[in-house]
Amino acid sequence: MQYSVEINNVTKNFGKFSALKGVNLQIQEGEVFAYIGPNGAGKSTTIRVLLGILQSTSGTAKVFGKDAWRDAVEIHKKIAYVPGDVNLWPNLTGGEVIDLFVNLRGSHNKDLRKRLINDFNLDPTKKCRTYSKGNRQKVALVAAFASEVDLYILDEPTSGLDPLMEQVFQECVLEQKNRGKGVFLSSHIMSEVERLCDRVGIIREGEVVQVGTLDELRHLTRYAMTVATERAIEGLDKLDGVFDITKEPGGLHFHVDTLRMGEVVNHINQFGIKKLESTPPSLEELFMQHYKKEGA
Amino acid sequence: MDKYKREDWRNSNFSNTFLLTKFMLRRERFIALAWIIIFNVVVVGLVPGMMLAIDVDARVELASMMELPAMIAMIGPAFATIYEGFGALYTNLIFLFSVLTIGIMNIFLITRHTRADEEQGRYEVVRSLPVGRLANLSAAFLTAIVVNGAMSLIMGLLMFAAGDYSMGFAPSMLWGLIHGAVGLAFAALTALFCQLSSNSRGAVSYSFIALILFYFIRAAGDMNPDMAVLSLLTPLGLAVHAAPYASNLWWPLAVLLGASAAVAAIAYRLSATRDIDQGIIPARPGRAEASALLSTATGLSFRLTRTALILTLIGVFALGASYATILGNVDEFVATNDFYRNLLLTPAGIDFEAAEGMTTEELVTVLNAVVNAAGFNLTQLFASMVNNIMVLLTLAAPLLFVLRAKSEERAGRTELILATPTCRFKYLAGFAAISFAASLLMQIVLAVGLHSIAQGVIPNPGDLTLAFLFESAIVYVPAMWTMSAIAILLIGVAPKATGIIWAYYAYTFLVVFIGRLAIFPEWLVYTTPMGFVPQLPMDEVNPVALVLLTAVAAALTAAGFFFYNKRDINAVTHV
Repeated sequence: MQYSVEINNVTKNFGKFSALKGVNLQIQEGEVFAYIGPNGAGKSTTIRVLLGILQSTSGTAKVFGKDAWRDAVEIHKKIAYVPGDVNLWPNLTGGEVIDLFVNLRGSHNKDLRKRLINDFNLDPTKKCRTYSKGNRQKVALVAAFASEVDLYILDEPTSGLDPLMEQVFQECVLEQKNRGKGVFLSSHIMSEVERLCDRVGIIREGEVVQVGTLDELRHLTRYAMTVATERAIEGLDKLDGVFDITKEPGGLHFHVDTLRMGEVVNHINQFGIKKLESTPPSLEELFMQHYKKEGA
Repeated sequence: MDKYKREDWRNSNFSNTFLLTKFMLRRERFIALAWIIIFNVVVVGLVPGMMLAIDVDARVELASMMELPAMIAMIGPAFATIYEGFGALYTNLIFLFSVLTIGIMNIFLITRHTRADEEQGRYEVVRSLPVGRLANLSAAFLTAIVVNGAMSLIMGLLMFAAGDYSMGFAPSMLWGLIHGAVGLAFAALTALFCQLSSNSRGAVSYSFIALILFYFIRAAGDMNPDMAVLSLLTPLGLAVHAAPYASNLWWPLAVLLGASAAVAAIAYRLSATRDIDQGIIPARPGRAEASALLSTATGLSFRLTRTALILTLIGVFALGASYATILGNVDEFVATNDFYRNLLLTPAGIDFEAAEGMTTEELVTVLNAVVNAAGFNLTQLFASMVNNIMVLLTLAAPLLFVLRAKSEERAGRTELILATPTCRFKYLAGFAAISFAASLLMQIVLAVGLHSIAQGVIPNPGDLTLAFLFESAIVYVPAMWTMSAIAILLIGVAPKATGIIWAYYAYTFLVVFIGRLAIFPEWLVYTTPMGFVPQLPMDEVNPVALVLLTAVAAALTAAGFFFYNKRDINAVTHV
């Protein structure tokens, strides 16, 4: 299996502050990878190391097998980048900026450009100074998707878009995914992550604390259960992996570690199940748990 | 509007104006204070020194110089004679540019608090509060009134305090108040343009175009008695016409204030009818697609600096041409003015003391003889001085062009370019190349500018050939390149400390300019690149020094690029 991105033990210090404390990540070619974590966790720093804009203090970062710092120009022929804060030249129009980026990346597909501008509902004749945050992001997104590249590095690219445009963005990502292109997506929008991404990496305080598919991550968390039985359940609170038991009109409500699910259901079964509802943790809950947890 | 009762309209439109005014004054306090202090230090601060420096003979000379048509076009009608004393002379000399500067202050002040706030979305927040529809504009006007009022009074009092017997209290107050009134006129006009244009850049551009038009309409009116009324149709012409310390007319003050109020009323009217974020003149759509220029990083650097480069070249040409207007009677000017004589003759090593009781004509004859005996002529010496001073003045431009690489970085735009297959070398080289090319172009344009006018006004055109002017201007280029190269080195090594180049520029300016008067020890000029530049016609062109200087520039540039390639790119917007 070929890796599009390989990060080995990368650290990055800004003076005394260490933004990255030994990050490890492997992303396969053609994979849509979500990179999530709270603000200031080191997402943008990782991305900027990958882009060769920052030099890592130690460790190696490779993109398509090439060194992110040394071979930056070679690598950039095959990637497109959209930052979270899109800062554009106030006196250039959106159309001019799109052409600039596409030209610099060396490919120009006029029909694609036209279609994307239309899909994103962008007026390319306006000066960038008059664009809202969302419109500036659209400029960068159109420029990225109009370029012929193998990997899209997107740093919270939709934080200023409305739900309709968010939809257009997701279609664009899926289209690239179907064409076998990879996407490295940093995002806070869970529905986006859930719909688009093959795998998720969670970074906290400069360390990657979890990597896996969504299902794998769910295994590490708890299901919410509501149960009604013929007889009162005994000894539930003594089982390992059961938490937060409350009595509700519909029955007992509690949380179960995913790994203990089988034992718990077997135990409840003795008391004659009338109703059993289990809800997988929402992504928000999943991530909140990781964001808040002390250490991994 | 007709849906609402007139009274309601009136009550609700201005509510909370005073609170907003207080807030604006708070935002304005440091800027306004800086303007008042710096402006007074420069304009009033010159008074005592000039009063001492310009003796009676020089005053006669100054008064007659201001009667020259070229001077009238530049600074307004000559109203000062030696009889009104220093105040009138000084006012005649600087009043137009002084009030014009206050006009510029107001263009920025009004735009900052109206259109720019609107563009940034701050005005929207203010409007969501219980604030009247016209309250913000009113508050901006009140702020302008307070700032201009303070400027006027402080300036008037300081002029009175600094002046001699010829500068009485009432005329001094007129001096200050005309400044404030011109300021308010431009405030009202800018407010009008802020309604017309949908963005702050447009409003500022329109205002500056108006200012420049006023300047030239006034010049046309002042130069042709038949069209004198033209001058009075402009705020600048009205201001100069008041002629403080000479005719002391107060009615231009009333006209200025009345006209400002009328223009402000139109601005109110338009402001009440337009929607937020809209201008009366609809914004022109820009290009939907980029021109071929924007297909490379270097093209982008050029595109970003193009307008500034063109304006700089026009400015250099105009400055060169206007210096050249003095060349016609430079010998009289130098013969009778100690300061200029020192500035011109000291670097040439000529000692000249004006003997007592000589007429100007005799002085000129003697002076020319002395200068010619030393192997020079005054025209060339003057051109040499102009070159020297122009380089000091205009050096800021190539520095700004190369420092654009750093301001782009801070604004978070460099990383967008470097995330494409553009190498850092190429990126920085774009700005460096523009800076280096600008230095060369500026010097060529300066020579052409000087030459264009000089040929018409100097008695012996052979004294100042284009070849001589080219040569004496181009020899500065390696030194200018060295300054840019130091900036490049700083961008590579210490991007947070690029301000050092401005300190070094200020130091260079001081050492070289004052160095002309042979006050400082001579070795001091060699601590700046300018010290190694041959000043024609006094010095020979020294190819070795020029090549070495170019080599130093190349080495510093190479070092800058080397370190730029190795360091992190830092945007201020990111952590």
